[in-house]
Order: sequence, then C-alpha cells, then structure tokens
Amino acid sequence: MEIPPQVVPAAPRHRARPADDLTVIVPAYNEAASIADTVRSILGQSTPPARVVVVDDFSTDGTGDLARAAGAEVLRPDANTGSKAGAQNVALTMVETTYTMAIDADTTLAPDALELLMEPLAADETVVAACGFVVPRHVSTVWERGRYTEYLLSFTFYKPTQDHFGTPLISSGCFSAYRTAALKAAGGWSERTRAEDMDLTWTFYQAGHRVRFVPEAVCYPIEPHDLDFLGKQLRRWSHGFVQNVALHWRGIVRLPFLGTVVGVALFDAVVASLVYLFVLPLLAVLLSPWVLLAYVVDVPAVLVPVLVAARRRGEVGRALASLPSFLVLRLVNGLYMLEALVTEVVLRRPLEVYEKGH
Amino acid sequence: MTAGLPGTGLGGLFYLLLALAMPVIELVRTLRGDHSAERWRLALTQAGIALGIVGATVGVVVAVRLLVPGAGGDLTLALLAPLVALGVLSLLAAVVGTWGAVARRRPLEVGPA
Repeated sequence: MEIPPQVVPAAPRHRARPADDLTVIVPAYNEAASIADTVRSILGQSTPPARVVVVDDFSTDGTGDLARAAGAEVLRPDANTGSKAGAQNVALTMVETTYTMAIDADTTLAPDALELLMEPLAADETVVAACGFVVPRHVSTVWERGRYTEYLLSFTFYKPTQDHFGTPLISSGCFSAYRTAALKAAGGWSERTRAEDMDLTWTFYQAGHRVRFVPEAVCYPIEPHDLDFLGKQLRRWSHGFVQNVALHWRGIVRLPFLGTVVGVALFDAVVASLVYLFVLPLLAVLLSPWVLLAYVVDVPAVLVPVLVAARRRGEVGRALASLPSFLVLRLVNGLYMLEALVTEVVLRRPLEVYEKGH
Repeated sequence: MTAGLPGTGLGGLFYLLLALAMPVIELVRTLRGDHSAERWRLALTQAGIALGIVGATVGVVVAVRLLVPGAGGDLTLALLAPLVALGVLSLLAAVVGTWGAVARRRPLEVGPA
C-alpha cells in the first residue's frame, strides 16, 4: 500500500523555539566595563534570541561601540532618558516579537538561563512574565557577601513559596521575560516609581495575569561593592517599595495573597527598622547587654535555606564565610527603609531622581 | 523577607507557615485529580526547609536557656514570643483579608501604567 505523500511526516529541520520569537533589551548607561560580557553571554545562550538590542542611554564611555562590537544592535536616544525604565521603553516601541526580555547591562547569564526562563511563557498563555534566580557575580566585599546571603535566602525559601501560591512578589528587573502584548498593554515600564519591576509585576496581577519564578534560570549581576553604590541601590529599592505600596494598595488589597504578602512585608520592614536601630540598643542599655543577642539569634534559622542553596551550588564555604556580612547588611537595609518611610510618608518628599548604583 | 527589605522574623514566620502548608495543599489538589510531580517536589522541599528552620529555632531556644545567665529558669518568654508573633501575624492577615473583602465589593478600574 502506498502512503499518500501528505501523511508522511517531514523530518523537522528546525523546531520553532520561544527564543526565535524573543527580543532582549539591555538598558545601558556608562557600562563599558560590563556590557561586552553581557552581550556575549546572551548571544552564547543554548537558544540565542532573535534580537539583542542595547539601549545606549547617552553614555560617555563608549558603551555603545563596545556593545556593537560584541554583536548587539545599538539604539542611542537623542538625550539621556533619565532612568532604566525610560531606556527600556525606547527599545520596546520597536519590538515586534511575541516575547521581550529585559537584562541589566551588568548581568551575565548561565548558558541555558534564557531557554529555561522562556518555558513557562511558552507553555501557558496566562503567564505574562517570568523571572529567574539571582546570584551576585562577585562575592568579595562585605556588601557583596551580605547580598549573596540575602539572595540565597530569598530565592531558595521565599520566592519558590510565593511561586507555589501563584504570586512571586517581584519579577526582578535584572533578568525577566515578558509577553510583549501584555507588556505594551501595561504601558511598558513605568517611570512613576523608582522600582519599575515591582510596579509592573503588581500591575500584571491587578490585570489578572500570572507571573512565574524559574529557579533553574540563573543570572549573575554585579552587586554594589561599596557603601556608596549600595546606598544608591537601597534608596531606589526602599523608596520604590514605599511608592509602589502607596500607588497600588487599592488594587492589591483586593488580591488576597498579594495583599497579605505586601501587608506583612510592609509591617515587618517598619517594625524591623525600629527594632534594629532603636529598640534593641535601648533595651541593651536599660535591661541587659544580653539583649544584643537578638541581632544574631536567628542565624541558625537563616542558615538552613542558605546552606540548602549553597550545597546545590557547591558553595558551602562561601556561604558560611558570607553570613556575618548579611547581619551587617540588614542593619543598613533597616536604615534605608526608615529613611524612605520618613521621607516619603512623613515629609511627603518622594524620591524622583533615578540614581544608578547597579 | 525580600532582598533589600529588613525583617524581624514575622515575615519569616509567615513563609514558614505557608511552606508547611504546601504539602497539605498538594495533597488536596492530588485527591481532586490535579497531580503534579513538579509541584509535589517543590512542596516537599519547601516544607523540609521549613522543618529545618523550626528545628534550628528550637535548638537556639534550648542553647540560650542553657548558656545565657537568668534565661534558664522560666519557659514563659520562650513560649510567649512565638505566640505573640503568631497573634500579630493572624491579626495582620485578618485585617488585610477583611479590608480586601470590603474593597472587592466596590469596582476598581485598572488602567495602564
């Protein structure tokens, strides 16, 4: 019996992959030291994207030339846009692919990160954003070590738990993928707060969309190595959080899980700042110096998820050596959160300038 | 709880309870015919981490009672602290939940960013 030609399966020459329909946007302002590594890391992925567009946001250090030499398309606006969100939106207007990804100019990816991050978007139409696991590329100074511990804790215990309940709190701006239509429908990355990734994620939830966390998709940003850079980053994050709560509370309180997560985070951040910076020192003076043990009493509890993550990565020694830095970092976190609350809520002076600090 | 945000442990307790609930939720889903090996693996991993955290915390309480002068005699504080934290957390969740229930009765337009 002869098989009709139309039922003979043709050998697939090239199976369509989500990355074939993906544009990666890399906003960059004076990133000459890192942009080439970032572009090469994207182009060297197991499934490279259709386009890599670097938005050279009026850099003065040759960032655009380096990005072009590394293989990226380069867009250069007529003037500095003033923020990461602004730079990303310049490129978004030109995106015609189904998916869009944003990657910071100081962030490199594990070789299969892009392929893995695209999976939930390709598999489920209701998912409009996906974010990956973040690990600092350099772990040397006290601030980098503190952040390393903080990320291992957050991305091993908190974020997978949030994902199981369908609500990762933030699709991190340094490495996230989006369904382009939903991103454009949300108006792109808004510049109304200093944490555009949190703003976008919460906007998606209020529109009924889903966001996923993909722990296997790993990225490596350069984290602040000194207090000056760290301060700029923490000012953006803490002010951005307060601004987003003020902007979205009417909408997120209607979403039971997100409302509770944000409510607990806000309450905890306010109380923790006051306790760490004022209550514990005061009680130590008035009652007993043993009260100061409260600063470290949760170390074994913190160590459990941190060591789980570190063991998976083969970095147990590094994690143990970094733990004391985490204790220092969270005091600094408290200081900046308190400053943000006082400035934004009490003094009504919102942070409006986007200060670059990794 | 989230990178860059300080926390007292109240957020940690919240996630601890969620992680411990994950296998129960998965069991219910499975019994309803919605089985996922991937979700089960995550639920058991997170619950395992949560149990490790509980064990570590109990260990700290025991160590403090043995090592810190004056902390060994009275169990009240050791028992009171987690109860107070649970109470605050429950109250917070109840307030947000009630607020949300009231808010959902009124329409809200969600526009683009």
